[in-house]
Amino acid sequence: MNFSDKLFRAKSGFIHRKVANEDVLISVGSGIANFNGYILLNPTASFLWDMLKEPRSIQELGEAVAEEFEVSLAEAKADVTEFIHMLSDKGMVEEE
Amino acid sequence: MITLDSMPPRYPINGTFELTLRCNLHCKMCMFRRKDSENTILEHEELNTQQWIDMARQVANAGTINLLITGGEPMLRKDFCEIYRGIYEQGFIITLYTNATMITEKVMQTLREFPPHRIGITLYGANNDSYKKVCGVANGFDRAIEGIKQLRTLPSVIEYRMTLIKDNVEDLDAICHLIEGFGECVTNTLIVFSPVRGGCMPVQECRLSAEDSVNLSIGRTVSKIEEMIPDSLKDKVRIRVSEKSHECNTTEEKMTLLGCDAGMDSYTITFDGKLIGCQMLGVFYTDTIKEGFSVAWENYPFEVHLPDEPEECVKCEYKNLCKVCPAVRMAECGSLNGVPKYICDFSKAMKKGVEG
Repeated sequence: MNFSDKLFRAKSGFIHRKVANEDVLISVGSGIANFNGYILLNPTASFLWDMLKEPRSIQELGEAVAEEFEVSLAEAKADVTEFIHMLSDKGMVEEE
Repeated sequence: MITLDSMPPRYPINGTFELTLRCNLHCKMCMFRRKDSENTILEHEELNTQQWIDMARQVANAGTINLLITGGEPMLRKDFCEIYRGIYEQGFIITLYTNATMITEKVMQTLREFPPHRIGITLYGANNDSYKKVCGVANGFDRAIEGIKQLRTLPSVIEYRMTLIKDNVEDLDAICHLIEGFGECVTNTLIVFSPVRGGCMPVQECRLSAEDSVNLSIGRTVSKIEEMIPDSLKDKVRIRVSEKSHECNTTEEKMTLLGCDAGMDSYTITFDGKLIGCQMLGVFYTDTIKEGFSVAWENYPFEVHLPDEPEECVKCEYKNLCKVCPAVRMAECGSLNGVPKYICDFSKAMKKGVEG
């Protein structure tokens, strides 16, 4: 699948919260049939999940990560692509 | 020496919302149940719909992730669905405790849209006669089974529990068989504590003796293990019950308030808005309505004043097997430094069972 020209958005079924200074995604609704629990997010994942409330391209996400975390655009895009792949495999993002 | 000043950070990770103390059943062994004549006052004192939803908002902001919704029977509240939905939308790992006898279409519509992550169902017997004897209702079993059938259509993990007393101990095999038919198993509660926080039921008359409880527990555990041993090996295998070692590999001290995690990472909000460390122990509390949750949580340790452990317990030879804690002392003796005979009997029976 070519991810570069697609837009992605976080699926509903997760609530993003702070718990004891950590960011977590809590599965809610009918999605608990597939995943019953919560996911701990690191700061980058938390930043990206918030951005994915709106449809975003890999380019957009990469640029935002590069600026926020002061890494090169190439490095940021590579990490974002891997993250989106993982979310897609787990059914946590949808394509617009 | 550890003092309150050196207390490590406390995070209110695990919460319990006791929506009501009222219940539609009259279980003989219930620790919490009050007289029906108190229902009007109890209902008047309960937090209202908006207060519970606001409380959920506050505890979410304070960092609670696991939230147990319980009672009494929470579904007895007319506004259960509104409260439940308002809590759920804040984002918790939700566990819902129920006796499954009040599952209406409206409740199911709500639970289908907002399924709890776990549902704990308490069973009281294997037929209507047992429900009549234990809970004082005529068709309780039929209603519970109908409720369970509906709850099992949800994507939630379902856990079944049964408190064994003289009136339902004969039902244990039938209940296990029934629940195993669902592909699940039943957790049995054998230690049945005396009423707490104004409870009025005749627990001490209906509970099994400590020795009978322990013998039942060990006997069933050994039988289950024996069933797993192939016939060809049965005469070669000997099952030995041994005492769990309480030796600790670390010298690191862990600070607690009540001897467990209560008040350190867990709490209960009572039906009337008090914050208590443990649902069984109401003598130490702060007021979430006056102070708000965060301040009430911060202040809770300063309300806990425990007397020294009784000398008899400090020196007791059964100490390693003993399940006593301040809440149990209070329930059984009415004081925080009492020596509860029922628990002593348990420890002695365990030792006897272990030594075989």
